Amino acid sequence: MIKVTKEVIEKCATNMMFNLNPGQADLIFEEFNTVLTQIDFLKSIKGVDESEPMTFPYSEHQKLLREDKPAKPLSTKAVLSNCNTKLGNQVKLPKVVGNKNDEIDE
Amino acid sequence: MTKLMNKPISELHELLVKKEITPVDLVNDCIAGVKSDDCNCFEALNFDGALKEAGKITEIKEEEYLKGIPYFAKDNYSTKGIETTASSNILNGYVPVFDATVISKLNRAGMIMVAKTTMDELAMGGTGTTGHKGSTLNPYDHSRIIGGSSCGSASSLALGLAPLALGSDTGDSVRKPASNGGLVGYKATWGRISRYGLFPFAPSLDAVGFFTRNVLDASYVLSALSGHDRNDMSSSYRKREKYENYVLGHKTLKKIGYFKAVMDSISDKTIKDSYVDLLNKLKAKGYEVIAYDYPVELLDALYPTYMIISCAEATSNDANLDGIRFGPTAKDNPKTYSEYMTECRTKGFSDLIKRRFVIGSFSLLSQNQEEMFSRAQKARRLIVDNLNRFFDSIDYLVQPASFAIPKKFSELSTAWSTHPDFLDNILTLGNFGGNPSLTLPMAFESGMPLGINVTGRIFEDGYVMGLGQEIENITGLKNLTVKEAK
Repeated sequence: MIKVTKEVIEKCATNMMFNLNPGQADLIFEEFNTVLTQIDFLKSIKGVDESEPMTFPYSEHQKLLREDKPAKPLSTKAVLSNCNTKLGNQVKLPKVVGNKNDEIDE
Repeated sequence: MTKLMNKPISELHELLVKKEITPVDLVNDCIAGVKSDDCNCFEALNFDGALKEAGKITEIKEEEYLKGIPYFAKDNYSTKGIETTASSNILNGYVPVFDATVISKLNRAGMIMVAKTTMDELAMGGTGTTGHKGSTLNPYDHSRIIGGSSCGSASSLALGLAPLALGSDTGDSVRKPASNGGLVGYKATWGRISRYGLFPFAPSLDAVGFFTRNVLDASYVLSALSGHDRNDMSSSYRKREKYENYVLGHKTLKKIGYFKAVMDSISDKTIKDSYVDLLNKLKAKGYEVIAYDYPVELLDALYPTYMIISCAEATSNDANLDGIRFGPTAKDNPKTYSEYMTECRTKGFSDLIKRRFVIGSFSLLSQNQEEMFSRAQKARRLIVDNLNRFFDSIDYLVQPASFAIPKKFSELSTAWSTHPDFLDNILTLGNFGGNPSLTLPMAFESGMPLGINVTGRIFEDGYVMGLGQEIENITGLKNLTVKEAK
């Protein structure tokens, strides 16, 4: 397992695409002492590493073919009524990269 | 204050059928109650929409038990045309274009949604303090928590502002607040109720739940909500039932069990005395009460197992919250898409959520996955195997839903618990195993309600409801609101 350092914590935050506030990495670093102690405890439970990981509460297999049912898509009007900004008959997303002054106006 | 909303569904239904009141009267009464809220229960309001729907209802038949009745929904259910934020800034401005299946089903049954309720941010938290609108108070004592994450739903019902509120339950997020608010709180078998349109937190644990003020009302709501949904691939194909028949017909199984380690660890005298007294009364009614040796080390494993699995699942589920279509926007001119998203997510998530995501992300790193996430999943297997062994010979697990009155806000900590008490985490058993689980009032201590919990085998929701009714008859504690209780 990777050793927990403040750099690793920062990297995890970067992976999750947010920045930590000042002091927060220290707080999480301290919290990890507890987390890792509890991981050691889980490891000490008899039979834990021999058991199968449980992904869902129970298995219930269904053998059937679902019938295709036509679904009604949202109308253009309904979609556009839900947007903050639109361009003609299309959804206009905020410009996220580059100079915002270059945005195309309706 | 409300004149009608403190009544249970059963009484309101009777008044509606006799035409002594109309759905519009009920909605107006509910709106008045929402406006008087002093516990911070609400996010979005749907007053105009609710009045419009109520106005369309002209006739209510005897068998239309839920028709014309107002309700609230936790703010993590998609509601078409109504802003839904899960009490997080990252979702500010998000207006869904569809209803969650449970909302559609309640609409079809004729129920009327009046408001969305506050919650812990993205349903992560058990205190009702982490939502973007601040803390939700316990109506019984404003200095104490109601608990979370379904805090607004629980407090609004304890205030007597509606007879039903939807919640969701990943660890104990309906059943613990129900205990703290003197309510009935139900989490159905995993797969029994569709989760389509419920914002996921940890899908292997998440379940639809709800609050009512008596067991019969809960059984009718369960009947309305259960059943297969092709939009939710985890929803079961098993035949739906009329759960009210278990309640009205007193249908129960006969073997009740408790964990010796839990019984021995209860230090609160009121809780222990009430619990023992209840078990004795059930015994006197012909139930067999059995003490069971569930491994203590697995009880101690509940907290770390839950935290690791839920944090890890949440990190991937919330990866779609990018700040582009809704939520806070970036101020500067970022050079890349990643920069934009990072700025939005930095602004949009609270510190607690970020801490949980970091731990989840760390446990999912390829070098750590086996030691952390996978090991927690293996511990879960042992926990559930042992729970199922219990259910091989015993029909119900009956235990207190909380082991002390709710904490004061000044006593709270959001840090990862260094010495977790298994009593505080005992209800996660029902999420690990996907079991049906019901909390209902058991006693009062220092003016604060305390709940008892009944958990059963998967898909034996009806029998859980049946025993819940039996217990409600014994305690006599039903239809509670803070006003009546005081």
